[in-house]
Amino acid sequence: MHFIGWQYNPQIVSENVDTFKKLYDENVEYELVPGEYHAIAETKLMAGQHIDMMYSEEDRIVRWKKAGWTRTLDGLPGLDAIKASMYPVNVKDMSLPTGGLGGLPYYTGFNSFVANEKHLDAAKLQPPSTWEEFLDQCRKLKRDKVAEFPYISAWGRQWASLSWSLFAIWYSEGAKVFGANFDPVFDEPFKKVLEMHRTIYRERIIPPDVFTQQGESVPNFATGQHTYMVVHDYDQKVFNTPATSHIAGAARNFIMPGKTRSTFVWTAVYQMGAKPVDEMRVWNLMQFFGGKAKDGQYHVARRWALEFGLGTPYKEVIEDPDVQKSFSVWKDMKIATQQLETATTRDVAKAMWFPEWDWFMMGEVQDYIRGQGSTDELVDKLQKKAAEVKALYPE
Amino acid sequence: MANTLLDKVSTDAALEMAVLQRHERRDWFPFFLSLPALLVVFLIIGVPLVYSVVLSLHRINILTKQWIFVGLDNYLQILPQAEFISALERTAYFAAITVAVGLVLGVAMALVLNMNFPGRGLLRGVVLIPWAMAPVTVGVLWGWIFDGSYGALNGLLLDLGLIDRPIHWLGDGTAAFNLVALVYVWNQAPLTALLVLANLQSMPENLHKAARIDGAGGLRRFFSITLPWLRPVLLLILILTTINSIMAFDLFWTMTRGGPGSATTVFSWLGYSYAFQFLRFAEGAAILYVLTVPCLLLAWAYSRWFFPSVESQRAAGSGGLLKQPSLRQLWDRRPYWSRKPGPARWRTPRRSLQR
Repeated sequence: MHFIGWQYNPQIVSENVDTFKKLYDENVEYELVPGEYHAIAETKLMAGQHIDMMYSEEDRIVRWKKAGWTRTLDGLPGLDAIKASMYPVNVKDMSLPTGGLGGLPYYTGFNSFVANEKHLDAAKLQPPSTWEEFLDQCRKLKRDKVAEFPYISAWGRQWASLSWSLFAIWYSEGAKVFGANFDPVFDEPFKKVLEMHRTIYRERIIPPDVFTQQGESVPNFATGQHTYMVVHDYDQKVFNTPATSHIAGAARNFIMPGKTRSTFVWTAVYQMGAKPVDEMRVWNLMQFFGGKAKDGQYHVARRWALEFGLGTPYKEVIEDPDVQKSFSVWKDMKIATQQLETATTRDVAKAMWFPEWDWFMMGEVQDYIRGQGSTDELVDKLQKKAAEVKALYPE
Repeated sequence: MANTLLDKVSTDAALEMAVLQRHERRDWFPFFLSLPALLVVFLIIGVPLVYSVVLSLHRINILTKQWIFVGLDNYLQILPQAEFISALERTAYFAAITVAVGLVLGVAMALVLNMNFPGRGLLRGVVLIPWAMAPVTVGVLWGWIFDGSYGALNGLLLDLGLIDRPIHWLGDGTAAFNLVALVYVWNQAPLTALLVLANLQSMPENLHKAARIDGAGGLRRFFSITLPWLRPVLLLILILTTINSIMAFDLFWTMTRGGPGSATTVFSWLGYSYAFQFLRFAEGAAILYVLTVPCLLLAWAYSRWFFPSVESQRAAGSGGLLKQPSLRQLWDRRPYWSRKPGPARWRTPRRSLQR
C-alpha cells in the first residue's frame, strides 16, 4: 500500500506506519511530499501514480473525487459507528454536498485569537470584543511602546496562511464570503475586513515583512515581540512551551473579536485512492490512522493530541482525561470549546474551483494590502475570477 | 620568418582537417554504438519537449479532461498581459544583475584561490559550500537570516551597534527582490569560481613570466593574457548562468513565494502558478516556452560576441573545431581596451609559447 502525506512531523508519521505494520502484519510505503503538498499531489495523481491513502485538506475532497482520483467511504464496514463517534460539524466538513463521507479525519483545527498576556498586563488592557476595539488597542500598544508591531498572523501566499487568517476574520465579522450555490457575497463586512487589513499594514501594526515570514509566522510570535495573533489553535502549544518560546505560560487564547465572534474551523482528512490495491487492507490503514485500530485504540489521533496538541473530531479522544489535562497546560479549554461552538465551516471549499480562486485571491489581497488599487477594484477582480473559474467547472 | 611559420601552421591544420573529414565519412560504427544512448536521451528530453509544445497549443483542463486545440491562442493571450510583462521585466533584471555580479565575483574568487598562500586548500573547499547546498535549503536559511523579528543579520548589526532597531529586510518589494538576487549570487558564484579556477590552473605560467619580464603590470596581464585565456570558459559560464538565472525558482519559492504581493513574481513563478496552482498546464507551458526564446537568443549572442572569428570560419567551411586559442589568436582577439601595440617579440609567436 502506498500512502502520501505533507511535511508535518514526518518522523512521527513514519513511526505510526511502523506501528500499523506490526499490528496488522502489513506492508505500507510512506512517501513524504515536501513543499506545496496539494499541487504536487495533484500532479502525481494526474500522472497516474498509484496512491492508496493520502492526506488532504477539505477543499480537495470534492475536487479529487470528481477528477476520479479518490472515492467516498460509503459501504465500508462500521462507517455509521465511526460517524456517530465524531462531532457533527466535522462529519459535515468531511462530507460531499451530495452526501457520502470523503475521508477519515487526520485532525481538526480552528483559527484562534491568541494574546501575549505580558503585553496586556503592561498596557492594562482586556482583550478586545470588536475589531475596531482591536485596532484602537494596537495603536495604544504601539504608542506606549509596549509592542512595535502589536499584531501578527500568517499572511504568506500559502494554503494554510493568508486565506485561513482572512476567512477566520471574515466569519468573525459576519461576512458570508460565498452564499448559496457558492456565489460570491462580497458585502460590507467582507470589504470592512479587507480595509482593516490594509490599515493594519499601513499603520505598521504588523511587521512589514509579514508576507515573506517563514513557518506561518509562528516563530515570530514566539519571540514575545507581538501582542495578538490569529493562529491555528494547536500552535498555542508552541507558544507555551519553554523550549520553543520566549512567552511560555503567557500565551492565552480568547474568543475572536467581531460581530459574530465566530472563526474558521477545518478538518484535514485521509482520503482513499479511487483504485485501492485492496479495499479492506486500505480501509484498515485508514481506520488505524483516521480512527480506531482493531485493538480498540486511537493510536494516531491520541498521539497527535498529546504530543502536538492537534484536535480530533473523536469525542472519546477529546474527552479522554489525559488529553484534557495535556491541552489544559497550554490552552484555556473552556474558551476553546466556546470558540468551537460558534465556529464556521468553509462550505465553499467543496466547490471544485475554490482552490484556484483562493490562490488568486491571496496574491491580489497581498497587493491590495500593500496599497495597490481600491477596495472596489479588488472586489471586482475577485468577483470576475470567481465567475471565470466557476465557468471552467460546470456542474 | 613569422609568415613562414604561420603558413606552416595553416597547412598542418588543413591537413589535419582533411584527415578528420575522411575519417568522419568512413566511420559510422561509433554512431551505431551511440544510438541507444541517443534514443534514451530523446525519450527523456525530446518526448516531454514535444509533448509540452503540443500542450501549449491546447486549452486543457486535467480535472475535467477537456482538450481543445487553440493554436497559438495561449501565446497571444499571455503576451499582452500586464502580469506577464511585469514578470518579464523582473526576470530580465534578475538575470542581468545575477549574471554580471556572479561573474565578477566568481572570477575574483578564482583569482584569489589561484594564488599561493597558506590554507589555500581549505579555502578552496570552504568556498564551494554555498554551491553544494540545495537552493531550497539556501532559501530557508536566508529567510531566517533576513527575518525582521529574530533574524541573525539584525542580531549581528544590533550587537555591533550599526543599527538601533531591527530592519525588515524582506518587507519591501524592491529590497526583497534584490536580496533574493544577492542570495542567488552567493549560491551560484562558487560554480563560476570553480570553472574559472580550473582554467587558470591549465594556463601556462610562462605567458605571465614573459609578460612580467617585459614589464607588464598585474592589470595589463589580467586583461591581455588571463581574460583572453578564459574566454571559452567565460562563454560557457555566461550561457549556463544566464539560463539558470532566467529559470531560477527555488529561492523565490522558499524566500518570498513571489511576494510581497507580486513584487518578486518572475517568469518561472508565474509559469508555476499557472501550471500547478491553476492547473492550466497549457498556458503554463506557453509561458515557459516564451522563456526559452530569450535563453536561446542570449546563447547565440554570447557565442557571436565571444567567438566572431570562429563563426566566420564556420561560414567559410573551415570546420570550426573549438580549440584553446593560440597566443597569436589570443593576441588578435584581445579586447579593445588593450589594443595598443604589444612588445615587438609578442607579434611574432615563438614555438615555445604555442600550445
